[in-house]
Amino acid sequence: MNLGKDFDDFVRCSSPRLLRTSYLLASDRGHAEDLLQEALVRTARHWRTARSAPEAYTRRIIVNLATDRWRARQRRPPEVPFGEDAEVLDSRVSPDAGIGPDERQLIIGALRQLPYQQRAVAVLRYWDGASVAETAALLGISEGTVKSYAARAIARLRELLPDRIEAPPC
Amino acid sequence: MLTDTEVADTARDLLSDELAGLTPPAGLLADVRGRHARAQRTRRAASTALATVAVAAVTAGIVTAAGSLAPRTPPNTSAGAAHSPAARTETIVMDGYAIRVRTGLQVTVRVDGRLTASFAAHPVRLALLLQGGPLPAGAVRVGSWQRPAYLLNDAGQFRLYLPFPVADRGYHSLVISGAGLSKAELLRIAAAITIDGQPGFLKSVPRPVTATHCPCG
Repeated sequence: MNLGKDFDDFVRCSSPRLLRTSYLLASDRGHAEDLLQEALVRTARHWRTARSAPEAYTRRIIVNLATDRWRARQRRPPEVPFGEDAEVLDSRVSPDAGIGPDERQLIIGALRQLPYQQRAVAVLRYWDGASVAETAALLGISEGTVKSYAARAIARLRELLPDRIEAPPC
Repeated sequence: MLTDTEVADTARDLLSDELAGLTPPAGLLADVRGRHARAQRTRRAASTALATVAVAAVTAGIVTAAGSLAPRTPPNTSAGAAHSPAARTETIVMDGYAIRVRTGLQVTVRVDGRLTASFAAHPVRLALLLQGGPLPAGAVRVGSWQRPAYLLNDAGQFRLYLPFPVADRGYHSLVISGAGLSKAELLRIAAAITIDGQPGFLKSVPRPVTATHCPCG
């Protein structure tokens, strides 16, 4: 099927958001870009079906690809973080952002430490704003499991980020 | 004690600036469109090839015109011997060869007729492992870029299409591996790779190729 201007518009408008989702799921900028590109190619292949809700369609593919990658990595030697992401991102964040690179890495590191399912739920629920039902549908799990994973993820983030996440003074 | 929602909001706020700086790579749309167009061409070619194979299979008596399998040829006949294990090419465990490259989007591989046939028969067996970028002291880059290459037959040449802008990322080495291909075949493929008209630089890397120090780092 030939792709029209609507596909181009969709890619231009949605790819930054979809890349953020990919990045939070993959915790690696290079992999995130690969996930996004692969998902867009698959969306293009089924554009006739996807064009009614292309972003949801692509997000679903990204989640599936991220899950596939996570499963494949279980069977491979562990990857050692390259440190590239921190350098690239540090150079792009404005100096007056108010958050030091150490703290950003702390949060990224905390996300990386979450088990994949918990991270996926946290990303979809709290960064993408998906509802419990939408998250459950995207991940193919029950709504109760979504709530359970979300609670565990938040509890784990609370443990990993005790200094940043604390109750405001009374 | 913050509520769960407040914890999530705090973490999201802390990352919001970082995520705002995350932009898709330049050329993403062109890459997607390019891959889509190539995939369409490949699918069309595959459907044609499938039809040809079907006709040939009927002609050769492997299947009947109705689609069912014809009785097998006894292995002691000449037709059966061609498919016996002794007639198959023996392959060895794959090795990896790093080719120092000047980064670019496409790599052209020239192969002779015999290897071309081998490629055509096993296109999915060739994988690429890109490595590179400056390694921090003591760091190990474990292969995370392994992916199937896209093989395009272009009048006697095969092009390995790298579906992302390599140069933008500063990757500077390329490891090819071919599960199922013989070592000699791999060597010939590696020797045939040219980047911008320059021959590749061959260098052995330790196995396994998916878990190795970057040979160029």
